[in-house]
Amino acid sequence: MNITHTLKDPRMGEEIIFAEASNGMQVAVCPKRGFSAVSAHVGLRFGSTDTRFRSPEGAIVEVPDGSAHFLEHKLFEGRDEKVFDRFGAIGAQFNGGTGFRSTNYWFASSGRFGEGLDILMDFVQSPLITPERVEKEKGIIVQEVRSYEDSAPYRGIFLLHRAMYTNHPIRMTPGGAVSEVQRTTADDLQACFDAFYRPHQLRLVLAGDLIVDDVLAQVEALAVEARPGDAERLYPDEPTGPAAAQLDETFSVSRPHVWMGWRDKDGLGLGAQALRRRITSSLVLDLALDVSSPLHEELYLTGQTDDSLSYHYSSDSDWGHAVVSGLADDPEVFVKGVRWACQRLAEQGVSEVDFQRIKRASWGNVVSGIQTPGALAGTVLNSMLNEQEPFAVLDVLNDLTSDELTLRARELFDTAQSSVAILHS
Amino acid sequence: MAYLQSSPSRQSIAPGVTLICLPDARFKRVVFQVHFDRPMCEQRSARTLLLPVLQQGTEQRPRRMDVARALEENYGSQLGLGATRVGERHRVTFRASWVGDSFLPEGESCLASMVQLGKELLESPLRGENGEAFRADLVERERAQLIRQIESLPDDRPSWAEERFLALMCKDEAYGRSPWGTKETVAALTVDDLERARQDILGHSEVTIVAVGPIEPSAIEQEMSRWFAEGGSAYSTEREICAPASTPHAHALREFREELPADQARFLFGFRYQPSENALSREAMALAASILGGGSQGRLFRIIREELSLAYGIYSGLRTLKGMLVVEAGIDAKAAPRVKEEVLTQVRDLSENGPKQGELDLAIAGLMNNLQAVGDSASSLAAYWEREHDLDLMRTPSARAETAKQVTLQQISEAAQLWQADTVYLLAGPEQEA
Repeated sequence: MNITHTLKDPRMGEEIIFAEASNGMQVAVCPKRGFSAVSAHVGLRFGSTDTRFRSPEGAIVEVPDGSAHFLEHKLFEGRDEKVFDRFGAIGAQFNGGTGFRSTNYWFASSGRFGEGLDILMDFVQSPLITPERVEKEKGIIVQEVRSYEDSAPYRGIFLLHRAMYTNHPIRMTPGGAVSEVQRTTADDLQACFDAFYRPHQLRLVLAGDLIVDDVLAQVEALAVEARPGDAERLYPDEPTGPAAAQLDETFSVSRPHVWMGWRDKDGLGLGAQALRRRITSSLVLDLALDVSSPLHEELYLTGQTDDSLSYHYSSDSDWGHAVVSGLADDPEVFVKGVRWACQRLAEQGVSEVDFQRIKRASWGNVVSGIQTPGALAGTVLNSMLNEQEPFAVLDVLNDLTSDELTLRARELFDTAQSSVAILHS
Repeated sequence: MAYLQSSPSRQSIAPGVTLICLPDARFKRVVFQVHFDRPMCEQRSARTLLLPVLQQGTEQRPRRMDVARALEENYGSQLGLGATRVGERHRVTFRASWVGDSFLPEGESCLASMVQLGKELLESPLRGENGEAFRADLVERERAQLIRQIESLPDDRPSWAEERFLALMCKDEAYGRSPWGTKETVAALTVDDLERARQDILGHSEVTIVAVGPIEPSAIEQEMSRWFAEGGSAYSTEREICAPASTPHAHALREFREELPADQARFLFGFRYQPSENALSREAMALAASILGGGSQGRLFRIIREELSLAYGIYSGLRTLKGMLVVEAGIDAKAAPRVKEEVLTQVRDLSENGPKQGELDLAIAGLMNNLQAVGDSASSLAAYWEREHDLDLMRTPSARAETAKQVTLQQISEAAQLWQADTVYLLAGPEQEA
């Protein structure tokens, strides 16, 4: 195991040791003294949008929507013994998750961490995928997919994705439609595993009260043989503008659910630039729509929005969009009001007083936001998968200016880039 | 790593006011909660509407925006008021969190300003211009919003199913009442009702204050004494200690089906039991519930999900204060009879034959891990000690672990024998078969 570098951040009170296993797997160890649980998170950049790719061997592969999520389920079945049983025997907590561009697996254990690490590295690196096992899992996944289908927020956000994007695969839900789940085969899942679950693509983060040298030695001992080569993701071309100004859908809701999106024309790849865009986007959304904003107050007092209003910014290498949602008796009033508030911020610009106040709040939240080993491991893994320096958000905050936020507000809140999705009863 | 052996300090700082402090410098943020407990009585609607009204501003900070800005200035501190059901109590909570002093610039501290904000919200609300208790326009706006929220509750099918299940299973008990009341009771409230509710919360409720994290207990005690002890603005000699929740015996098994448009049906199955005073029996009950359906090691998960592929998740949990075991799952409506029979079969088997040693070992391993991890976050520590206080047990995780290790197969069987099937509830789409 080759230790590559160490990062110490006195503002956060955290330290991270980065290393690389002989098979290319990137590893980070975050010592947190005095905590009982040790957490291990392993992840890779392979998610629900990766349904068409050129394998490292050169074959063009197309798999059903939801394949990354289905594969995650199958990995938990283990090779000889169910992962549930193995983790259960040591009392560990565990789970996994599939996003648009990544999949991760984690466990946390207060004792017998070494055994847990054996289990994690075993099932993520050496699955057994058979037609019988795949067929058996379909009923479980269908129930999971159907539970999401009954959720108005879930339906609404994907309706908005379809309004914002013409071809981009984030139009599809990570679990895939029931029909896609039903047509998934063992060969599909094996092809995905072979193409993407290569050791040098894995990122492993360990956090807790552990001995760095010992745990790195264990990881090295568990590393499977290197399998060089990378799959090439084949995404459809995506226009720079939204697919539709508005999409409407009938759903069982007591009041209309309204979703508004502003999409960036393109992504900024991964790394520092993307992080900066994410932070500035989140701050301008706060400045326009947080309870501390006079624009929010105006919307609230005039009944254009209520406490159901929420917002966020989401991005990856080739997309970025702001989302605002809420419940409204009159969706038109809601949409008009929110657009007015965002436009107003862009026109007025960000005042130095507001900027300093919101920066101070963000600084406090970032410094104190990561407290447990699990939260630290998850945060560091996310940074590694996005090729960003963990804790760089503090440097960005220090470096920002109110003018930069004004420019970002003007760029982001471009009406020509916006879409609306409404769930009506 | 050892189990947490130390208890927090728990002291009465005034009649009916308990302060629980657990300083821990490992954490970066303080978790601070003041619970005001009242019975789940008719006044709960007034309390529920009062809370958003109070959060619209204070005499000193007349706009909600002013309160939000004060929190941002305070390095992103957070606060909120909420109400929930705890056993048969209606619990109003003032909840706050802020960055510990050691992570702030030299000389900065958030404690005093956060307590001040909490006091302002509860004690110095915005009054009407003509001497009304609250501004009428503001009350009407928040009332309309609360009514809309009540009307929207069925949109969240799992939460709605649980609420309906509790209303039916506990029809004549306080536990079956929703914490917010009904649209009609909210619509009928007057401004004076809200003021009476505010004064009742401050003057009559049983108060529990929980502070965990990077705190100085003496500073917390000083601030809370200034607020609640003699001479403080919320000092009262009329606080009422809430009665323990009722734990009635089971009815003959009842089955209810209700319909709402849905792709997936929600299934809930409630059992009753009489909680034991005996420490070993309590742990046996917890482990029995875990063996039945406490997670991926539970029998229900293994059989209904893994063997029969009938559900993505199926779990059982105890409502300890009420003496209830509740099984919950999202399923195909047509699978409901099969799932119900399997639950009954497994409960019967556990009570007649007990678990296998391996099942008990897994349940104990899971419990040990959870008890060890209690000390790893300020919020889980706060939740743990708050629950121990509610139960009036104040067991350390270490003590619970020692007791749990002594539980036998026979005691699991005896615990399962106490479960009496009471209510099966299914919320399904109109076109779905049962």
